[in-house]
Amino acid sequence: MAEKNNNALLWTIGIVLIVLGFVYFSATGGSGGTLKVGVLTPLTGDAASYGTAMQRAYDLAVSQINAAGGVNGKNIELVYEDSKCDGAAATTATQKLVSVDGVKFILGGTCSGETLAAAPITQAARVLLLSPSATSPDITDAGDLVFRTYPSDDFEAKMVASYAESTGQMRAAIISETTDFAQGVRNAFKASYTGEVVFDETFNSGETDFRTLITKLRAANPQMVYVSPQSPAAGELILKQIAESGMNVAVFANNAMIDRSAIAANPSLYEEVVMAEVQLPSEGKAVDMLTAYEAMYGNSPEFVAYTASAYDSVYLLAEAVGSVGEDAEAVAGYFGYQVVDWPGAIGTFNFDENGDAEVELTLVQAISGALVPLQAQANVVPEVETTK
Amino acid sequence: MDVFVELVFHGLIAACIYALLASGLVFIYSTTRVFHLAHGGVIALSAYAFWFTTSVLSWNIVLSALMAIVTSTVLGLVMNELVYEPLRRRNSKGLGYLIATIALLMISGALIIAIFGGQNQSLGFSSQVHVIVGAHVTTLQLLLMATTVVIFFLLHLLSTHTRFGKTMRATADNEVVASVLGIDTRQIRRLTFALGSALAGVAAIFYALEFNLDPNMGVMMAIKGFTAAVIGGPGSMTGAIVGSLLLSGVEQASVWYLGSSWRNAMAFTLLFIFLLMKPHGLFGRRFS
Amino acid sequence: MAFLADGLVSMDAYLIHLGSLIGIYILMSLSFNLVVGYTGLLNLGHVGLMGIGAYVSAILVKNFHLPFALGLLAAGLLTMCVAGILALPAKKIKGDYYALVTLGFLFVVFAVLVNGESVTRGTLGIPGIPRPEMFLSNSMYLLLVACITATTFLFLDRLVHSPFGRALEAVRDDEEVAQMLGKPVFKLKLIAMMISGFIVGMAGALLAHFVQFIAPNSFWLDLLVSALSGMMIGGVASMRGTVVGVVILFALLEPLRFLSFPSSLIGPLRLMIMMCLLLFIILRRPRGLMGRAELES
Repeated sequence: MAEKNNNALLWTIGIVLIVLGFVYFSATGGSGGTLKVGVLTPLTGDAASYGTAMQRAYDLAVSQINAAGGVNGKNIELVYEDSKCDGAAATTATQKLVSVDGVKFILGGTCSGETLAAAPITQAARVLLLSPSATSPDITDAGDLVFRTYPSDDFEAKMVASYAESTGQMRAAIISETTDFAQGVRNAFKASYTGEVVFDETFNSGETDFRTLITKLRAANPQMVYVSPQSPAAGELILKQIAESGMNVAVFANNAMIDRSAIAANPSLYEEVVMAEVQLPSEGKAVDMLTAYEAMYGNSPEFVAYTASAYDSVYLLAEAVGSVGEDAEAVAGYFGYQVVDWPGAIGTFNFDENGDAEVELTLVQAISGALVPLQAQANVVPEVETTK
Repeated sequence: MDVFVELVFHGLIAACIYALLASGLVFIYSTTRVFHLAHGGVIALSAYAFWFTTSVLSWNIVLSALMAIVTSTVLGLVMNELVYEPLRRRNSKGLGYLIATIALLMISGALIIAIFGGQNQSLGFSSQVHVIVGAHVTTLQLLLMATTVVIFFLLHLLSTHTRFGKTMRATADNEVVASVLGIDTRQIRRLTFALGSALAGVAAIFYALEFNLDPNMGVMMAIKGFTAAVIGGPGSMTGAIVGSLLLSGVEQASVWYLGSSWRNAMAFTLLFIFLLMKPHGLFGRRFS
Repeated sequence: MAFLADGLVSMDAYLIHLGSLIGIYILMSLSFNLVVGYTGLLNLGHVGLMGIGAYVSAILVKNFHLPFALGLLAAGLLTMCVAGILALPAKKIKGDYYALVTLGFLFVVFAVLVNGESVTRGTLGIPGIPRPEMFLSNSMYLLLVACITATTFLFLDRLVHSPFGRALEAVRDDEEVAQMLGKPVFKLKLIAMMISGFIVGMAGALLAHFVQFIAPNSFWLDLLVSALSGMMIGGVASMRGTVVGVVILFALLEPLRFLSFPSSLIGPLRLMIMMCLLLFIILRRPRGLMGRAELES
């Protein structure tokens, strides 16, 4: 009886293999009328929240471009691969995109790690890799066909640091998450801040209990706290627990915490938090993007700057392919020389000599659930208080 | 002094969360001998059910809480009937259960992303802050501590003072003898899973209100609950409480003395050392 | 322009890439099976050992410019020593509890990799791990992996059929009896762990130089699931089964990339299908396809 069962299992597995194998090979067939673009992004696992945010932005941009007639009459077809923010998963995914799907352009990766793992493969195959969100400094040297549309961390931290100094906050505490983006911002802040850093600690992703950390921070008696998380979720928990600890301190944050719907939903938590926002222009593409995003998904994006960056990367690629054709080298050249003050959703931007983007930033402050640009009230020194 | 009181409170709050995570694990293990790591996934899924009903469908919070408990109970029962019972019928050994429970944990995470999307979700819940002997504590945290105490008291009563508790222990000690004595062991396991998973619902509610939601939270909860349970001795309720207190104490101390990023490292080192020195946990007993 | 979709040729590149990965996974699962299947030690810290090997070789070769071969050897030897230490608790602890201890070990390794920033660069990971000149191309690397895997397989297959292997199985099946028959139970366990550690350390190093990027999350629960699945599908206590199991694992999972789902469901659906397949196999054949033993708990 058992033996019979086992044979049945072997048969089932065999049949499944054959069917899957058939699908496998049939799927590699022709790609006539579409422009295939690979996408590397974490769709499951720890980083799925950023990965799926990227996916929404890509899908939105592609649906708009295709509705407007596509690129040179071809529709864009995105081929998603789950890179899980993991090196090995990313290399297999990249290899599959490059050699089986034959894509010449890959959007991603979302994390720096997967981008760095993918780069040797895309470089060898001369495929263009365009990351909307990898911020690691190592990306700069990853290869001549590797580009990113997200700005370097230095500017935002510098801006916040000098604003803090100008308002007389010379004793700073830093809390940062152990991810490349958050650490990059932290290091840039430390480098440009001229006051004294009295407390500087990191926490691991997935951490939810910051109370003891906050008690320790309070003992260092800072005038301000600079919060550098990877996601708005972690940042909001820190703000909540700072408020519950009864501490009064000025809070500054990196732009991962700019989540307009969260700020609107919890005005008292975010009150008077100062952040440097990647300036989404108040007209043009950014507004269109936000309206279209709301129409398509029913809410505003969680990671506004990342979303705008991912959205822009699709349009940039479409524009480049539209004018120089489906050739990775030519598109790289186009990025290097033709993209000058390009008007994107994320702002006006340029690729610098390393393929990194340069964009505009503004200082904003959360006031009653809305983000108010600080320039407008530059002479007003904010009250040093966060709890109500 | 104030700082010390505050740290003790932080430790207690975290310990209560861990104890709630561990309680279901221990309860299920003590009867069925299944180390149900997918419990973390059950908690995560019911936390999402809680969030969805209260924030999206704007149900009354009590109704949503009930929904979370119903969800977790059903999930636990389904996992038991579809996976663990068939494994038991096939006389599967430890390894089979282990892979099965890890697979279920992964499936739960994927289900959350498929149903609710990959974003983190915030309930935006906040409650009154009280100052008790110099420490800041919220109403929710006081409620959490009270609930934990009540739950463990009830579990203790259940296992020592009821017929059900006795049959549970008989099933755990020797299934064959238990069935000879006329105990429907399968039914007992079913009830155990239902009750243990209901505890997951309670943990989910508090976790969601206190820490918000992240689609991948199930794995971390399984690991933390597991650590607390193993330090205490996986078959003992007292052990779960002591294990949670110890785990939380070590974590708060390592945050205070070493820094927040060492928190998990120290927790796991503690687990490792404990397992080496007392492999059956503080309150574990050997089962023949 | 030169990159026209040439079905066959390009499919080859992908298969060659998979080939190396399969080879490395086979190494990982073979060494896993030696300890779990043959010796009965449920060592869940196996992927932690693999991580140690990967980091040792990556750091030595990238930062200290050691030759690749030395990096590989150092990874194997150091991991072997750590595996030896990890075998010590097996003197007292058995069954499920040993699994818990080693799972604790995996957590510790992960935490140390994340926190030891000055050496491991923490969550940033180590990029640009060099490959040796000779094995720069994927096909040459596949050749290297294939040679090492084949040698290891032949070695292990002979080992488990030798008196030593039978002694290991005796320990697994009934430790007390083995003890009474005068078998040095703990020494057997220690040697099995050390051999397994050497192999998995090398597998980690091969993975590091293949992917050229490692981070702590490369050696975490996902990989443990793969190691467990490879062994379970193929068969507990069967070296040949392990090879078949890993190949089937890849043959079942990779085609999932080619099924078209709505884009927002691709990731989770693939993961769910993979896990359901795994559950299905465990439920249907608890010993795996070619397995001979079941493990005591």
